[in-house]
Amino acid sequence: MPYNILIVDDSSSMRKVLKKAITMCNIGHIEFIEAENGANALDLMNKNWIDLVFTDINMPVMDGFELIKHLKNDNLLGNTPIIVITSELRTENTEDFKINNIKHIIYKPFRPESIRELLINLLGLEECDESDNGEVEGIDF
Amino acid sequence: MNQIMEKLKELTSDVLCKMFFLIEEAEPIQKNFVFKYGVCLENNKFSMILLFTEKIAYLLTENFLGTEEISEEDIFDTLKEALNIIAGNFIGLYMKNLSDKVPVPYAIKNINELKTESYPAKIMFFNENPLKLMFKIKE
Repeated sequence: MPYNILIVDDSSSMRKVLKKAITMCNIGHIEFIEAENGANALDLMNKNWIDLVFTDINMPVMDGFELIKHLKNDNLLGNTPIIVITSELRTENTEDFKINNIKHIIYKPFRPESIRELLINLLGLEECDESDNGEVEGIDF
Repeated sequence: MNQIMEKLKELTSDVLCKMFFLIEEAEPIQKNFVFKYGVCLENNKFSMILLFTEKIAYLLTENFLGTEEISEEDIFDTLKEALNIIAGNFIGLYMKNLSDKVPVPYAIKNINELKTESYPAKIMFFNENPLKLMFKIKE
């Protein structure tokens, strides 16, 4: 079953790296949709079915917190799983994460294994095939 | 300030190693370097700047994207991402009073016009090429 994953980040390099890391998690066929800020993401989510959102916090136009607030207030989109990817290691943000009910956070620099674990958990996937030992090949950051 | 710069240098080394696969080296013998690329991140309280030689900018981008086919846009985008990660970690760990959130990084158009004489700076070496790290708390 294909999954539609929305990646929201103002850095096209980071979007490329995330796509690569997610693809290497080997969880099946994935269609990637990309947005460069929260406003762009909301627009795309109203036009496409999205199974999971990866979002940065620090973005121009509309940041990740604002995007999440909009989603939580939307009856249709409010249950879409969200993974926040951020480099901001601050306790104030931890409070913001709690207030916005953000449970899934990956801090940069990150390891792809942490992405794989979250994907399996959030998409309700079984740990896959016998040749798979849970390691993500070829990339280690 | 020297202690702050040391912490920033350590953190930069850690981020570039983990996410961009660059290992910091000792200072090489050759010292005539030209910085071609620069990125900056600032607000009314602080300013952080990274300058790169062409070689180190390419290497960092190639390592990050996992391809040798890279454009000028890829380079600036990757350098801005590197600065964003370094600043996000640095402010969150050591300088929480400087910003509610990390400002969005931007590319420096003309490095030669930069006025950075008053900036505390550290030079770091990767693959025998330098990266110049500058951080200033504004008055």
